[in-house]
Amino acid sequence: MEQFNRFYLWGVNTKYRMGLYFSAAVFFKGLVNALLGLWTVDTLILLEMLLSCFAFACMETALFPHGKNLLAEKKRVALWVVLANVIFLGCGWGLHWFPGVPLWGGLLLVLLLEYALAAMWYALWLNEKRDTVALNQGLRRFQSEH
Amino acid sequence: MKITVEHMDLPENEVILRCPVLDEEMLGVLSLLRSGLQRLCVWDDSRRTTLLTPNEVVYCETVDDRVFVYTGQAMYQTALGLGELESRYSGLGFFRAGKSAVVNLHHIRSLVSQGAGRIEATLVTGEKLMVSRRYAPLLRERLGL
Repeated sequence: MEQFNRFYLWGVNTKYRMGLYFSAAVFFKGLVNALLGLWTVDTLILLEMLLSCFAFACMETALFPHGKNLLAEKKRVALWVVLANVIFLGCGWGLHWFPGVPLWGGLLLVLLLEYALAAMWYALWLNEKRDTVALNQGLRRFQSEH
Repeated sequence: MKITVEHMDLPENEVILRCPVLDEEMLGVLSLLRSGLQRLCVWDDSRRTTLLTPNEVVYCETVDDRVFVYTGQAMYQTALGLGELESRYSGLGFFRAGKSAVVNLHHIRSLVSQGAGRIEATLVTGEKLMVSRRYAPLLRERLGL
C-alpha cells in the first residue's frame, strides 16, 4: 500500500508539472500557427508535445524530489536546463512542431524557451527573498513584543 | 510589608503570600519568586552547577542522549529534556527548531528562507541552525506570519 501511495503521489506531482509545460507548448504552437495564418493544430503534434512534456516532467520529478532545496542544487539545475533544451529543442526540430517558421522565428522560440526557464528560477528566488524579508520582520516584531 | 520567616519541619520550602489585594508590591514579589523558579539549573565540565536565566540561553541541543545548553560564552549540560525546556520556557521565547534543538528566538540575528519549507537561523553567536520542514510552519505561526 505504501508503494502504491508513493507512486500515486508521484503521479499527481508529475501530472501538474506536465500540465504546466504542455499548456505553454500549446500556447506557443497556437500563437505561431495564428501568426502563419493557420487556425488549426495538428493532433499528432499535440500528442507528441504531451508525451515530451510528460517525459520532461518525469525527469524533473526525479531531479527535484519533494523536499529538495531547488535553488541550492546547482548541478541538478544545470542538468535540468540541459534536459529541457535537449527534449524541447530536439522534439521541436526533429518532429517538425513548427513547420514554415523562418530561421529568425526559430531562434526567437529558442530564446523564449531559455527566458522561460530562467524566469522559473527567478520566480523561485524572488519567492524565497520575499519570504526571508517577511520572516525577519516577524522575528523583529516578536523580539520587540516579548 | 511585614516579612516573617518561620523555621518548621517541612518536606520542602514553602512560601505563602498573604494580602487583601494583589497590589504592585505583591506582584513584584510574585514576579521575583517566579523568575527565581524559572532559572535553569545547569552544570559545566567540572560538574559545577549554575543557575541560568532563560534569557542567557542561546540554544540547546541533544547529543548522544545528553542535553547541552549554549550561552554566548559557555556550554553546559542540563537534566531537562528538549521537550521540557520548550514547554517550560516557551513563553520566554524558547522554540523547538528540530528533533535535536531548541532555540531562544530572542537570540536569533536573522532568518533565511531555504526552500523546501526549511528556514536557516543565524544566531547572535554567528552559528547557523536549520529549522526543519516539520517545525518551520510552527515558527511562522509563532512569528505571526
